[in-house]
Amino acid sequence: VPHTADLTLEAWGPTRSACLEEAVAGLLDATVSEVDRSAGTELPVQFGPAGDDAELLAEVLDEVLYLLDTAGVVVGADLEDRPDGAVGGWFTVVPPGAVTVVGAVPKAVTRHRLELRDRDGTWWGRVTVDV
Amino acid sequence: VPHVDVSDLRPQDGWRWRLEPVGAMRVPGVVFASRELLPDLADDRSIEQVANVATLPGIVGASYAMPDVHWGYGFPIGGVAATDVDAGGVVSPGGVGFDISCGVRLLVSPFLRDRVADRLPELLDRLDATIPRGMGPGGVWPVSGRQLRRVLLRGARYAVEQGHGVPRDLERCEDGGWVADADPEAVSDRALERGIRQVGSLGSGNHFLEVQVVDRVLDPGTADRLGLRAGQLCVMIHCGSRGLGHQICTDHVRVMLEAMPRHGIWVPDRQLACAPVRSVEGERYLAAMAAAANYGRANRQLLTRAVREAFAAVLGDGPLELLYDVSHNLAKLEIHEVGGRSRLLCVHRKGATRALPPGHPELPADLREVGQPVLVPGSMGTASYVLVGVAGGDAFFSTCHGAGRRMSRHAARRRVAGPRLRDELEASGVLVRPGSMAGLAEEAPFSYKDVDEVVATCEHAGLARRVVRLRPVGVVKG
Repeated sequence: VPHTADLTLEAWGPTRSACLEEAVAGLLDATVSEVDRSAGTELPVQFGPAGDDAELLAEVLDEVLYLLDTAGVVVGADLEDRPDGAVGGWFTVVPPGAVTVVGAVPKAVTRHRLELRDRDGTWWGRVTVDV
Repeated sequence: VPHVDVSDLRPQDGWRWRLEPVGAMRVPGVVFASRELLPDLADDRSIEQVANVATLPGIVGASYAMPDVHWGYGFPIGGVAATDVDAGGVVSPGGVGFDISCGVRLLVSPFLRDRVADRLPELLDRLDATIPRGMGPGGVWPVSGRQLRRVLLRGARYAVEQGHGVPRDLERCEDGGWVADADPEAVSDRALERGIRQVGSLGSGNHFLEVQVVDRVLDPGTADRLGLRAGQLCVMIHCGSRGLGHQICTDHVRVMLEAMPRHGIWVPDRQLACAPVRSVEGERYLAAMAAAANYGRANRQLLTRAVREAFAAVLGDGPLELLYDVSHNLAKLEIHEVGGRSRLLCVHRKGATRALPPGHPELPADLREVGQPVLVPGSMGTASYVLVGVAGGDAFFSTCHGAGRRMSRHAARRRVAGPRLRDELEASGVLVRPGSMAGLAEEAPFSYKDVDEVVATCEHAGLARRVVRLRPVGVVKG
């Protein structure tokens, strides 16, 4: 989605966790290509429960960016909604050398126009990422 | 705040536009721009952001936008806002930005471009091989946890003490290369983990290291006093506090979002999350921000060392002297006169540069008569500038920080392919060493405003004065 300086993503899916998985995939697509998944490791993750769903979206992508500087590139997310309102599951992480960078590297997740909500049965989110 | 855009601006003179306060705005908006530089109505929300900033508790004067203003998040990029600390004024991490103390330094060499032109490709190859950049960890200075703590406490001063520079470098840094009020205890473990392996790295996006040549001298007297002459090779470094700064901003925005209801604060954009300067949350953010500012200055100092080594190896001996180092993403506690009274203000500059006038006591002795140098990085392939602050400078002595984007990254990528852009730049005499071809395309010169027009507007609007124009001859991109 157009933004003058940074990167705005929209994601959607049938469930909240599916929408969050799509947001992770969208961020990856905007940043890298040619992912070698053979070196991937699985990392257990849990987010929330948060005060509102939008904060959950920020929390998930914040973790992706934290891992980028400390562990590697998150190339996949397998998430599920938990009964207590949290989201849990697995991130697939590969070393930086296993991807080709195609754009400006994301730095941080902003709260500017941040949204995640159920829109007539489809979960939809929007987030702007500083690059 | 009701919807506002460029059509709500009223011209004051040729270079200044006013947005009258509406809704929750506590002060007017003031945009410094020529008519040509005003943001396009369709693809820009920066004027709405100027209005949103004007709602911050304790804001004084106006919510200002510099000539390079463009759509950011929370604050516009190119935004300046000051709050009255003793009247409930707030500090907003979003008013500093994620890249805390992102800034520019300029190194001046004794070499004339024409005398060393044949060795420039080798110089660029060496810089390409030695400057860490792009995604993830990697820096020219691997530090221990204890050393990182000292970087956070003493910034470029610690780096110089450890042999990564000369004492004169510190005299030519804003604040002497470090700020005293940093507290590493206010920095989270996550931020430390991100920062420990990135000291001395460029990053990505619009960050760069450029070999430049003094292209045009616009103020010969001042240029001479700054040691700048036509044809001289310089190096401009544009980067910030890397993952450490990004994480600090992330952490403190979250803390302030939770604290705002307790302080009775409402903001129209959650990225404007803030707390009174005189509150636990405000003081803790400022202590962490100062630690990131020290990290940013040490980062540029380490890259300076790497550049000096590359120059010495390829071009031989000849000092690379630091002209100045200044941040353009920072909040500072400063004393300014407002309504006839001296007041302590928290001045946020988000994509804006402090520009102290001649005679200001904070300037080093050898710059006091000249005014503070302001370094304005343009887009690659066009130009950059050295300006100086002027007496009576408006917006709390602030000016622009760059050319300012006018086109989205995707639009730029759709319009030109990286390899073609590299060929075009090289045909025009600019050697390019990109981190990635798509990243290069995103930074294509046409995606930025005309930097010549931006700095001319700064001069006409009484924000700063032009000294020299620099043109790139080699670009190392993140």
